[in-house]
Amino acid sequence: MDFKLTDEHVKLRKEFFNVCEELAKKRPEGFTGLEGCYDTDEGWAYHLDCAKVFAKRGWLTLGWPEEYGGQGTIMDKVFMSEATGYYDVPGVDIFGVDMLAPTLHATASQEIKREFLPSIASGERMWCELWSEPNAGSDLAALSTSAVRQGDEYVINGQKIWSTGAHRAHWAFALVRTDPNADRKQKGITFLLFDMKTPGVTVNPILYMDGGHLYNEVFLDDVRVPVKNVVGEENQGWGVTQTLAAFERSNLGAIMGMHRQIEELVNYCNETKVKGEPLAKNPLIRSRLAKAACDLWAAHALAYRIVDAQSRNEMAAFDASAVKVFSGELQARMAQLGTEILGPYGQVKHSRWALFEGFFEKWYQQSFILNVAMGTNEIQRNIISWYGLGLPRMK
Amino acid sequence: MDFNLTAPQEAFQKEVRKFAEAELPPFVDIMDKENRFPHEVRPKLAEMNLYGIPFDPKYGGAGADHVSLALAQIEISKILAPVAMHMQLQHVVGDRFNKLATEEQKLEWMPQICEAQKVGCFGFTEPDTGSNPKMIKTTAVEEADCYVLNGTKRFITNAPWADVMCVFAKLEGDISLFFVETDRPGFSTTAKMEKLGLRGTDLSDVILEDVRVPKDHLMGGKGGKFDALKDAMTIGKLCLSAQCVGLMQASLEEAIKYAMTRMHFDEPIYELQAIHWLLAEMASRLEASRWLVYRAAFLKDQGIDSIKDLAITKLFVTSTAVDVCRWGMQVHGAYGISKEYKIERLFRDAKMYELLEGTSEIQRELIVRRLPR
Ligand SMILES: Cc1cc2nc3c(=O)[nH]c(=O)nc-3n(C[C@H](O)[C@H](O)[C@H](O)COP(=O)(O)OP(=O)(O)OC[C@H]3O[C@@H](n4cnc5c(N)ncnc54)[C@H](O)[C@@H]3O)c2cc1C
Ligand SMILES: Cc1cc2nc3c(=O)[nH]c(=O)nc-3n(C[C@H](O)[C@H](O)[C@H](O)COP(=O)(O)OP(=O)(O)OC[C@H]3O[C@@H](n4cnc5c(N)ncnc54)[C@H](O)[C@@H]3O)c2cc1C
Repeated sequence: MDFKLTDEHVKLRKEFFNVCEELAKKRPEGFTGLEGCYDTDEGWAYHLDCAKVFAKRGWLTLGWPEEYGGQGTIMDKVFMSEATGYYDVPGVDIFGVDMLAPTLHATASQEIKREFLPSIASGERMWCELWSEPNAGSDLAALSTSAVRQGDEYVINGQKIWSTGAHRAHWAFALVRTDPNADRKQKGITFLLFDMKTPGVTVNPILYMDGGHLYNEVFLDDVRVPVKNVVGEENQGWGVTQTLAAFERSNLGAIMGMHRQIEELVNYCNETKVKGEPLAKNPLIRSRLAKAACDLWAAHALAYRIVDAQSRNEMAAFDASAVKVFSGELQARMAQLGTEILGPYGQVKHSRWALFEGFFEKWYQQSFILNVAMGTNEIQRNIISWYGLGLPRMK
Repeated sequence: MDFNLTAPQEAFQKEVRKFAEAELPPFVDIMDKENRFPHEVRPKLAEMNLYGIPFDPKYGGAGADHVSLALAQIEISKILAPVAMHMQLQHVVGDRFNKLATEEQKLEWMPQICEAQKVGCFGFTEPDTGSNPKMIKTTAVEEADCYVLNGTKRFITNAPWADVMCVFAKLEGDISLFFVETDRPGFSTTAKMEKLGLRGTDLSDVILEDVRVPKDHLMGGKGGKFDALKDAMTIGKLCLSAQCVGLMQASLEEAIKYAMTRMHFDEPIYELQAIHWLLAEMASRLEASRWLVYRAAFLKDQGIDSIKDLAITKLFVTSTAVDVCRWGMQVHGAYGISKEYKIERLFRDAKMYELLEGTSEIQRELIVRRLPR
């Protein structure tokens, strides 16, 4: 066992942090997290600019095979996400770089890989994920968007929902039903790629709790997609989604974001006096900050363990669920702590009264995303029960 | 011991519920989305006598008890909490007149407050403090025929369009309470704030620059008015704790409604144990909170010093409300954190209460100092 990073790792990690620190200086005012990328034109432009900077350094292809321009290892990718998470810097397309690229490496044909990987590596093409439907959330396999084959095209009809960034993304990876008569609903699903500008694609905003434009509903009316855009085999799309489990799932980006929040709160408590004493001397505040820091370091250690296991192909499916639930709930608690410490100044929107450009007011509302998106906490707990604890499987 | 509501209390509860369900829904978007207070609601609330529930009918009140006040607050906030918050401020100001003003002033001001011809606001918080009376910087200086007030108040609900303000200021080094008509020269407010929840209850800074008030505007004599603050806060805390109960009740109802209709794996998610767990936790905490609020109101009606009990109630109920609304949101999945469903508003509103009328830390102090030793 060895918890120490090698000198080389330390050096590389520092480089990621230095570059992100510089990029953070150009962040548009009030930019926060994932919503920041998609809500405003400035945020989107910033996202694209950062992507270019990373692409130039080859940092969007960390851990890829060399033949596709890859460099480094999964560990390097983790350091990179620590840096972007800490500075809240975008530029790494979670859909293209984090989800689609590894899926393609694991399951796609040479042609697909050659066609689609270069524009992910160069940071030019941004992606969205069209999986969930109004009646298919946790029970994703219940999806009903249909794709009917006509010659060398599919004709797609249906509705997708919660499609993050679909109003900005260039391309989509979607799940559609190609065989409505399959004996199990997981069969008969196909994973395919299409241009969001294809005729018949309509994107309508759904506003997030804080009023921001993060996700959308997407209507697909007679959308024609070439058959060659299928990833894997027709009707085998469910299997393709399952390979997602093998990706970098440490959540270290979110964890590093929390490190920065704690640092900011500590600074604030050192500088802010209540009844003539800095808040930092208030025993209640100290103990709550200390508790948060302990939880955070526990999450951090768990996350590193997962990366280590992953890099040896040893990870069990429930490990990632454990860190997702733990860090997701911690994120919500941390945002809660932030608003409590800042008091009313943490609850007014970005204005002359707000602290940290209104960050905590926004973050309080965005900190729930991890508890619902990509498998709700209840679903994660089911997974932990089945695979981790060997409890009987239930619906 | 008798845990039942009396017949008049129950009748009143039903009446307010009917009113709230019929009249308030059109104001939801105006307040939450546009962050604007709908003044059209004032005559409606006044007609129901919801601005002076526990006050003597002689002064325009409804002559009911504090349990009824709590019941009304719960029913109103089930539909739209910021309206209940606006009513709360009117009660806090009315209560100060009731307890501290001269008979003549009561007869002049209270009916106008109870009918909402005059809207009140309450000014304690300042840029430097929201809880420590020693740090209050607003000053009152006595002159031959008046007091002259100077200072800045922060986060003042109703301030942008209030007619009268109860202001805490330092007079001869000690805290005193004044009432000030807001059209007096030197009284101004800043732009209203955009905030997370309880939107539409307009909140702003108040700036007092050489504001002159007649000597009879000093309420309850010179000095020692920190007690007046704590006392004023009991009615405020009762109202806001009741509002939290209303929010929790609404969250539970929304969560059940959603869970019964959301189909997953061929059955409503209502059938899943994971959802049972969330709903059961929500219901338990809601009931505990409700009975704490009823009891606090009951003690207030008995004339028992209820500072401790209201602090206990407020501490428990406000943090519980955040949990309950969050669980309600979790039941809704992604729908819960979008603007499509009501639950996210309940959650944002609930968050605002923890630090109103004294942070949780202050409540703990108030409780511990009053525990039997
Ligand atoms: C911010 C955000 C961004 C998103 N972005 C995308 C995107 O880009 N693309 C995309 O396709 N999707 C996206 N999603 C959708 C996300 O994947 C779904 O929200 C998620 O799968 C849950 O589905 P649901 O919201 O329909 O909730 P439901 O599945 O309806 O769940 C409702 C409640 O029931 C519980 N529940 C359901 N089934 C079970 C069970 N078997 N056992 C125990 N409890 C259960 C859930 O935990 C939840 O509390 C996003 C969601 C969010 C919140
Ligand atoms: C929606 C809204 C409406 C309001 N309406 C009014 C009104 O009408 N009239 C009025 O006078 N005031 C009003 N206020 C102000 C409110 O009552 C004060 O904000 C509150 O009493 C706390 O004051 P403070 O933030 O100045 O905190 P202080 O007591 O000065 O403390 C400073 C900061 O330290 C934090 N802190 C202190 N101790 C702890 C601890 N142990 N744990 C965690 N954090 C701690 C506090 O949360 C606060 O942020 C309103 C506030 C809001 C949000």
